[in-house]
Amino acid sequence: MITGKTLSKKVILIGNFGVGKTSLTRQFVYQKFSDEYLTTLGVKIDKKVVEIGNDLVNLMIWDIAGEVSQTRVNTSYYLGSNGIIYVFDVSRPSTYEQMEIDIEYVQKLLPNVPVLRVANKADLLTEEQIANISVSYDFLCSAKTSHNVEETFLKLTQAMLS
Amino acid sequence: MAKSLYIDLFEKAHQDFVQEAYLTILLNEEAEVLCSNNTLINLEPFYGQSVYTVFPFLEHLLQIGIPELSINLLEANLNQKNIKYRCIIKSFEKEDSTFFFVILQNVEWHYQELFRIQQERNEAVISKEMAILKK
Repeated sequence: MITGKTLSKKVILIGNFGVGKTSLTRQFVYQKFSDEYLTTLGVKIDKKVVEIGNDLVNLMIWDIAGEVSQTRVNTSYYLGSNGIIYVFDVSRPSTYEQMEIDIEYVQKLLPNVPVLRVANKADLLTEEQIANISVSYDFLCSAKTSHNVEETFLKLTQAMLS
Repeated sequence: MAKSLYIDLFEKAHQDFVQEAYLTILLNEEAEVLCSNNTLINLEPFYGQSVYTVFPFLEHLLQIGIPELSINLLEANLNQKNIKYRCIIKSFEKEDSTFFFVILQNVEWHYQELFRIQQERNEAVISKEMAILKK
């Protein structure tokens, strides 16, 4: 039984195009996956209610169109964000080479907002190949198999509440 | 052609191509719906209620507290239907109260054209990248 507060938090998913931001959101919100790549334009907004302890949290998930650099994203999309998920594709090094520069840029616009680094498409590589990835991340995910998808969003929600 | 006919044509075209594509909403400081032109959706049943029950994404935009904000392409569900909008929010003061004027423009036609171009560009870049990685 829910006896606590109901809160609303805005989460943004950012990163290069084709890394699976929309697929992660779709898997988390609707438990669905498609191999077909459909580019996102502007921002796609979905909502999911999660339970954290006694509280209900309305997560407004802003899936922002991917760009090579976050400096090319309209900053109005970032306004009012409470949490950030930076997504990259483990099979495409170009999608994580700029990650720290991108995160530093976004954190200047959103100071004190928690960030999670998500390595997506884990199903495309072997364990050995994944071990050779040169950047660190918080979650290794697969939107296809749903591995760690729920865990990522719940971890971020907890971080936003603390 | 008589001038009155031009005016009729203009008004009909304005109704079909402009007015019907724009939903405008006046909100008070608590984000309650005060008035709307009720295109795209009839908001009359929601007068006096929070606009977030219909457009939850507005919550984080109204709270930012800047006088004018524009989101050029936003995709969200309305009555379980996916709609593409341009969203403009203007806030203003009147007699010590704050009000918001929200404009939601249906940009489906624009989206379809832009989508085709962007999809081709992204697919080409990813294919090129994957081909290099396979070498």
